[in-house]
Amino acid sequence: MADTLKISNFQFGCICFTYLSGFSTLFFNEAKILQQDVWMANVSAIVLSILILWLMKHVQVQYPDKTMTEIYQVLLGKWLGKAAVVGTLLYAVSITVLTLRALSLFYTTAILPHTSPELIMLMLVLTTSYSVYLGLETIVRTVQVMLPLFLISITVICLLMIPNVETNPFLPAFHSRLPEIAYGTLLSYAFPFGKGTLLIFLFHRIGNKKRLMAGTSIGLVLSCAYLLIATYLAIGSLGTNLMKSATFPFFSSIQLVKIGLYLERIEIVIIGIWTVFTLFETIVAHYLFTTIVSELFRIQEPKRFILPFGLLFFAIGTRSYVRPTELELYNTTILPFSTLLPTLILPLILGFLTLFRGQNGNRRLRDDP
Amino acid sequence: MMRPVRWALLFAAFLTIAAGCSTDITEISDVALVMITGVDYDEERGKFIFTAYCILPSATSTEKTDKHHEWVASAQGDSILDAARNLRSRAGKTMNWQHDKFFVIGEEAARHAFYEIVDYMTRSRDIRLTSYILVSEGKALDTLKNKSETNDLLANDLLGRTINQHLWGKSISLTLKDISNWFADPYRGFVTGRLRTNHGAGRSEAGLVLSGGSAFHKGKFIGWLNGQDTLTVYMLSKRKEWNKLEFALRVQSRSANVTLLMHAPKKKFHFRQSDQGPAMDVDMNLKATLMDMDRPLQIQSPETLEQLERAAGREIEEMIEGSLRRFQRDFKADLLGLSDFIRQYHSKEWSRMKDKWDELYPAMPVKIHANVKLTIIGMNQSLEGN
Amino acid sequence: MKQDPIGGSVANALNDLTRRFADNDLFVIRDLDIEEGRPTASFAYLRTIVDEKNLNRELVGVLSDGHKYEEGRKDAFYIEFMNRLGSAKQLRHMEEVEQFISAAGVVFFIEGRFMAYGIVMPGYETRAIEEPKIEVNVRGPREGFTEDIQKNLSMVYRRLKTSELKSVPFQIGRQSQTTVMVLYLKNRVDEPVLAEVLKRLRDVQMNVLIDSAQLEEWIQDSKYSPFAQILNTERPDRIASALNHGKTAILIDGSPNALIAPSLFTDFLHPSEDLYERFYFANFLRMLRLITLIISLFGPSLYIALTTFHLEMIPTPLMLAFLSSKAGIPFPTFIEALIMEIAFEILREASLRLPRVLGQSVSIVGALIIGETAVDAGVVSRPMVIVVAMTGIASFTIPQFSTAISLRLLRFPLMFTTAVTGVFGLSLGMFVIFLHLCSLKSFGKPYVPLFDGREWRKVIENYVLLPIQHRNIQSSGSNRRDDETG
Repeated sequence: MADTLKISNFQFGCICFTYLSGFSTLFFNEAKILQQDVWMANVSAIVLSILILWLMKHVQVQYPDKTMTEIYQVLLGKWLGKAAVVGTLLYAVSITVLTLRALSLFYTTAILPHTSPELIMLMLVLTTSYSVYLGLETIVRTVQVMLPLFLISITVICLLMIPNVETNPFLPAFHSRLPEIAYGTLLSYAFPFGKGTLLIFLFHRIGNKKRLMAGTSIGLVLSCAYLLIATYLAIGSLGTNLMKSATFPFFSSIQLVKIGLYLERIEIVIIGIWTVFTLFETIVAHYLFTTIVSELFRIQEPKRFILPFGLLFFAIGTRSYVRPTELELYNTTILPFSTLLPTLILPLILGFLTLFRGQNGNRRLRDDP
Repeated sequence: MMRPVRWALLFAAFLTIAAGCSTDITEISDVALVMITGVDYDEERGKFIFTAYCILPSATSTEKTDKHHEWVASAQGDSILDAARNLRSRAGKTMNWQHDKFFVIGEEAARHAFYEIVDYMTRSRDIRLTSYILVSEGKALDTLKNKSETNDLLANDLLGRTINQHLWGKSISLTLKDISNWFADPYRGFVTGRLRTNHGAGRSEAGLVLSGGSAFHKGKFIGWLNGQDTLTVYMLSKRKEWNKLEFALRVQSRSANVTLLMHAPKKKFHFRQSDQGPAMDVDMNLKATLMDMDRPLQIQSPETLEQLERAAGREIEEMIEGSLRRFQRDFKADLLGLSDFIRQYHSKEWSRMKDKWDELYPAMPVKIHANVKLTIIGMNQSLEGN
Repeated sequence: MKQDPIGGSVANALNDLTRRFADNDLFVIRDLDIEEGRPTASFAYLRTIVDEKNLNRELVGVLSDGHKYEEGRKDAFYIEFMNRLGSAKQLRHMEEVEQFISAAGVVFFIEGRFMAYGIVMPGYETRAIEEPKIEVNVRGPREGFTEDIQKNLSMVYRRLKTSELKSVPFQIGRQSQTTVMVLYLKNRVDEPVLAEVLKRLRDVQMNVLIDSAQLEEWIQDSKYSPFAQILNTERPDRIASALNHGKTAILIDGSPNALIAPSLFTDFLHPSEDLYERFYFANFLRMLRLITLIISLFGPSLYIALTTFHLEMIPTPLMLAFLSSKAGIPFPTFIEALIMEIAFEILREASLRLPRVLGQSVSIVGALIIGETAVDAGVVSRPMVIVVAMTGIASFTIPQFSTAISLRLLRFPLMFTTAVTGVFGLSLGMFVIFLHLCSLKSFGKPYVPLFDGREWRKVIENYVLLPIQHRNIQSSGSNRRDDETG
């Protein structure tokens, strides 16, 4: 891509938080299973993803001038590396399509029942294409504009939700069985946190790679904290049964917020900001898809392909998960396992290969200046 | 540099196409605002009757009047949606449920079709989770035909009454959120509002009365509660907004009849396993304000006060225990949510007893210890002076 | 450009000049000395734009001290004469001479010299220094720039009495030859930005430069953006404080508006008066302006979103009021909003173009009479009038006219997206605007100042006015980071 400006660790942390937190509070799949014990699943998922990112940072530091795509090819060999990157590309496509579908599902269910989901997805794709076109620096800066707006509004709404909490959401503690927790961890790793591993393809754009983990970890931990706060507020204010049955539990619990006697349903304002916030996940996935493709196939002018890629996502989106239950089924049965390859296994392999060939790689780097 | 222009043109062109298909628009001028909805069910014929109490702007006058007129329409159908859609045959405007604060369920509907009603309401995006659900004696349709006594809009009047019901405690209204949360729980029941028409003596018009409660268990209406029982539910349920409860209590102490205003009830539940099985103790702390007495009482002396406090405590204990007997023996329904408490705080015991809860609950002894503190005696100490 | 050097001969030079200024009634040549029928010392200028009265007075003055005018001492006489008129500039080419004469100069030719001497003696009338018309302050200096660049420069130099204040002149416009001055403080300026400013000014291709707005369009970063990226001001005090913040100022002869580069989005929202208020109040005002910014951009769209898509959010009593006021209005809310917005813009434009006195009556007629009757006649609803009036007034609180205009323009596409998909369209529209704002740069500096891991304090200062002793610019000696330069 044309933009090669380095981003700072702080900015990368912002992206991490935004990228992970946008959609995390939409479905609460793992919380519907684990209820009050969901924190165990979330915390173990976040620890896992921090470990993976740390490992990949270690890999990146070994090859400071290479992009992750190149590192894949160096470590796995040319063709195997390419195949692995293509696997990651598929993962990026699945993320974009999932987010497009999830957002359009949310809108057509909760807010705009008569609008066609295709229109919503098309508008989303046009917006993400525009932002990818503007480049990473603009995306990062927009994140920095949106983040405070989002944080302020979500903090206000969370404070307003506290009076609605009727039951203690943490009790009875430690009541889930180990397989349930393990499955919850998988769900939690698949849905919000494992996605973070896609960000390793941005590592080469960070100015100070040595101190990369500080910002990243803070971003990840904060997004976990946000998810937990939202989950427990939803459990507390909706009650355990309604929490299980509600399609969008956090949204429903925001609907309960009431200021004074008559000012209700202020969720619309939050939803406006939240929509934009969720969009960053699609944007980052779209951006990474475009960059990785252009790196992989050595495309000289990737900007021309941004809109076609967007339309491709749109086309896949209109064809996938037409029924809402399909989306849920996919999220709870297929995704937790299919996601493991690009987000867990591949990074682990890369990490081990680097450890083995670490000496080699260093020597080679030292040889050619 | 032409790129941004191209993008803008693309976006604009796309929006031009899109502008034609904005199907979600509701113009306010085209809206009939439904403020109360009644649902009745005819068990024999399997028909739903849907009643909507609407507010319409008064005609098309452009004068500065903010007069609205009320309009009650009802229609019949095989399902709620069918009935609601059949209502369109009578309504010239789009009915909007987004400001509906009350759902009045007829007695028969509450008994036989409550599941469908709650399911319909929780699925719909228009219906607020914060709207109140009340059960009417007889048909909801007849109840809604009443006029409000204050000449205000019926909906406003009803809203005022539900909001202020903690000031007397003999009426309870639950929101859709609570009902749909507790609805699925096989262990506990719940109590919501009871609406009836009062053909009181000396009044030409019948008025709506919101008093007492309606008890539900396992998704069905099981019976009416009187004011005393409702007060018990108020005092012993763990809900934040109900902590503001105030109610009047008539106490006899040293041959004087004293009225106290009780407020700020605080309770603590204790669960224990006794020889006869599970048992519960409830420690209550209440504050009291002395409102009146029918003959002079030496309230300056601590003993008199203590006696008065003890008498009040006893009175409350008796009242609650009476109600609890009715809940446990007659209704056999855990209307207070004791099962929730045991499940949350004594989860080990709960997992052992939850299968037998239906048998255990009616026999479970619940002991009440009410502790009353008289904190305010008023602006006047005693009419007699010393 | 072909350079035509001045030969030693006065007569040849004068002939050349006469040819250049043929058919110009204002062109005057006066000889001081003639030898053998050929002028050996002459001066040329354009009548009426040169201070001819002064010129004559000085000439008579020198001549009356007759003892100096004698053979062999002529040169001394000429120098005396020129010194009385002002500082002389040496001109070596005929093109320079031509420009100099055009720019209200008097040019002296002396036989045997391979150069000419030019003295600027503007004799035209310029406006006196007045109070700024657009940027009005309650407190703070009351003088504003005029059309005369010299006066403007003097106003700036008077405020910054340091040799660090540098000025780089440019002549822009093939025909207009307008003087453009770039001012900066040597010890504070951001070097790459200065280099960029100078480079862009050098690249300007223009025939006639009349106002700063034209130059602004030429040198701004993104020409198609609706947002103004270069701040213009008519206040010398604002220029002084901008220079102190390491920015460069561009003064244009003939324009009472100077440009400040680079400009950030926040600069457009803060008038210079903020610096003269107590910081509590100034920050309160800044917050207020942020709110009005949101209202003026999103006001009508939010109203459309709420009243056509998300009726549930309107509180019930208000909904009842809307119900009665909207009854009988024939137009959809979006069309109604469009009508009212356009009507408002018409009124605003009308009251701006009319003479001041009439303008006020137009706005009164428009606001009170049309508004009231339109409501009574059932053309528009009451809430709509409130919303449109509110947004209009909100947009007036934004100190920079150019920004207020761009917000007013952007309101329409936002209304459109909202009318299509409610709050979804609104938030996407908002997002696109944010994206665009974040992608903008002003002379290589990001337009929206954001924290990027360094210098958080400088970023915060763009938004919040700190107490004076905590302001970065007061305490630190240099604006540049020494760790990088040194």
